[in-house]
Amino acid sequence: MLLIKNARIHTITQGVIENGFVLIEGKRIKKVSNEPPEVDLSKTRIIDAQGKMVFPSFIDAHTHLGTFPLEGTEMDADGNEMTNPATPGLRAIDSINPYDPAFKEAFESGFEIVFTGAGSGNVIGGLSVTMKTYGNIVDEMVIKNPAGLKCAFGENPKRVYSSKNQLPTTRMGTAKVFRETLYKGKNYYEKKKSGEKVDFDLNMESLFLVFDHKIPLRIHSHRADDIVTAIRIAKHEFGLDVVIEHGTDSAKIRDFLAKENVPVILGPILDVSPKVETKPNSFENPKKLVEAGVKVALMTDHPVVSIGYALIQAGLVAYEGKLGFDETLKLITINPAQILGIDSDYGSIEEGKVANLVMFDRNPFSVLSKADTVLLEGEVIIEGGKYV
Amino acid sequence: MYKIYAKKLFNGEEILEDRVVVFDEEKIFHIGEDINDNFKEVYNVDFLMPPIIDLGSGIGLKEESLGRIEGDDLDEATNPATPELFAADGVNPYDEAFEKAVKGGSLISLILPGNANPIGGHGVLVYNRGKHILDMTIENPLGVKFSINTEPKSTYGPKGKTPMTRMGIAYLIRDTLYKAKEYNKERKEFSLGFESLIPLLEGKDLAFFASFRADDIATSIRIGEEFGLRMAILYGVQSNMVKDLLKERNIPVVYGPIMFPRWSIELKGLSPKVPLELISEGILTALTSGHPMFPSKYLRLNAGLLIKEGLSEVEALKTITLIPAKIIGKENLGKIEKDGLPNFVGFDGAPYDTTGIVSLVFMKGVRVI
Repeated sequence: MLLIKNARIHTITQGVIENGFVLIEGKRIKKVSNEPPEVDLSKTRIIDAQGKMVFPSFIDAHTHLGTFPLEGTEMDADGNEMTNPATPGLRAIDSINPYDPAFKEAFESGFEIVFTGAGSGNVIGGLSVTMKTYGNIVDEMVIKNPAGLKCAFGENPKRVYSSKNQLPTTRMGTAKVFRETLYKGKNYYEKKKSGEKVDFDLNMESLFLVFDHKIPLRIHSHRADDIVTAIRIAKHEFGLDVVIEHGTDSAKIRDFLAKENVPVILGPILDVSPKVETKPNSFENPKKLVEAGVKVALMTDHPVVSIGYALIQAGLVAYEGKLGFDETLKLITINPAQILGIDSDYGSIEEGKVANLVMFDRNPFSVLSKADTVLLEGEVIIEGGKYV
Repeated sequence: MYKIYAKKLFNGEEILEDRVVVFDEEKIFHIGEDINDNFKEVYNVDFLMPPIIDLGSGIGLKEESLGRIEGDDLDEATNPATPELFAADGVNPYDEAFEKAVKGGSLISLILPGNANPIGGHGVLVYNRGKHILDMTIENPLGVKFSINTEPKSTYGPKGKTPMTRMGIAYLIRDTLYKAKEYNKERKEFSLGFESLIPLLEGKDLAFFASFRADDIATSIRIGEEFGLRMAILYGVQSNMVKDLLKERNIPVVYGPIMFPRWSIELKGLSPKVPLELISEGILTALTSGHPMFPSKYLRLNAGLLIKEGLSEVEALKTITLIPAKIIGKENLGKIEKDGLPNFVGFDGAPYDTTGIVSLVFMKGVRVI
């Protein structure tokens, strides 16, 4: 047993507990309280938080950790298989390099969990992964695999395939590739479900998970019209689960997104707007979406914004964007956990959830702050800013 | 006359508490104790400081939200030695990034051509706001851009054109500078490029060598010395590895952008710890956003990362105000002093942190925020 005492506990879902206690048994949180729990002191390790703030592990729901390298060469970039615009049969886990220094930087800043995977060069990029940032073997770091099918609308696939003079070179072309692949997938899925014999197709097999509603389509789209196209095709025409990635102009259609109940993983914001479609980028967007009732999470899109600076980006959302401290925290904890479908285990400090906890002695959104203590699955990995 | 009351005033040299600054459109009249007079306006801020100065920016040359052709005038990548180019001719003052930069307290930029050419051309020093480029210009031209890193290789190598190696880069720079020297002796036939290099060769201008790797920094210094250039290192990711060389030769470093993903292998070693090491050696060290690598608007946060690593507030703030001003020989731009320029940035909260919000900006004595 492990008992953290004298902590300012940001539970996320049940407010803040001053001078609180978190009791951990094995991997999981056994009790969260403002009174000392009854424990066998001889079998309990006690960590005195000395008033420090405790948060659930932060979660970045859209990154390319391990598929696009830090300090690597172009030979290490494995996020975009730009040889065919529809590649649902690809699995990001086969590209992820867990020895990339970004994983360490993520973990040390309190991001113990990320969603990572394919880039946006293809209309359908591949199956991507929700994983821990601490570990040695990618298979052991997986939380959920596959966790989503990466798709992309707008400028990126157009740019990639224009340079090859190949479809898609327009938004219509992108929609055609997307729709056609889903039709084929649906046909394959329905035949196979009804016991009919089909020729094995790995691309089509991947779509099973989508048609079974086991994973959502994670659709990269910046412009508001691209977002609407994504929802029109994927949700209205095929009845699939959709998450909007980037959503740079999503505030324009926030009421529609709220009505459609489609979440947005927003960002990266701490960046120069590099493209025509990223023009509406602003730290004021998260507040507009949240107030309209849209489920929002923040992304760094690492390495676009380095994961090591994810909390600084969140700080700018909280203060410059005026969303406030508590609401912004949700955008990197419970909201991404819900969008990733892992909120029964992660995203808040509650009894029964996995004890992934991070402690800070000052505002984590400050440029000056550094994670003091990091617990992974009930185990203290970093204490006092140093690896145990 | 206007009066600003500041709980804290960073004047470029030190942080003073509870001061007032009195000024008009032309200059600052008084800094110190509160005084009463008939002021047009009186303002209150938590923290008042000189304008943030971003050296080595591509703001206005590589515009926001316009993609790869329309808004991109950073690199004339058709000829690797183009001293005859002037950034002032490519800067679009209506790039949205300028307005954003001002909102973040970054009021002054030294805009330099990009990294594709070993000799890129001439820079321009501007205020980040104005009706047109002449209205913005503080000095033009200022600074000559050299690029000793992988970008010239990746730009020209695939075209089968020199340079495809670091030797090729050094050759091109040397060849051009020798020819410009020769040209300066007899001026046989007019050459715009060689003509434009004369102030640099005569020590009247400053060379900015864009280099990341320690060996490239050493090459920059070697070539600079061969021609007796006044020089600064731009980016300087691994400059701590050659700090003795920098210290001996008294060469300043414009470091960064710190908050940038280490995408390529030559960014290995990029860290807020490096400027601390340089500063402790007494090397003049400023920070750059490298805009559009990192938004100039948030250069201030990079200074915060130095404080996180243990540098004092004063020393960290100097890296984005007084020191860049010193590097380009314009100390007055980086200070708040009596009879000085009425340029100020006021913050609610700490200027180097996410919690700090720009609440007031005066540029040339005019309130713009």
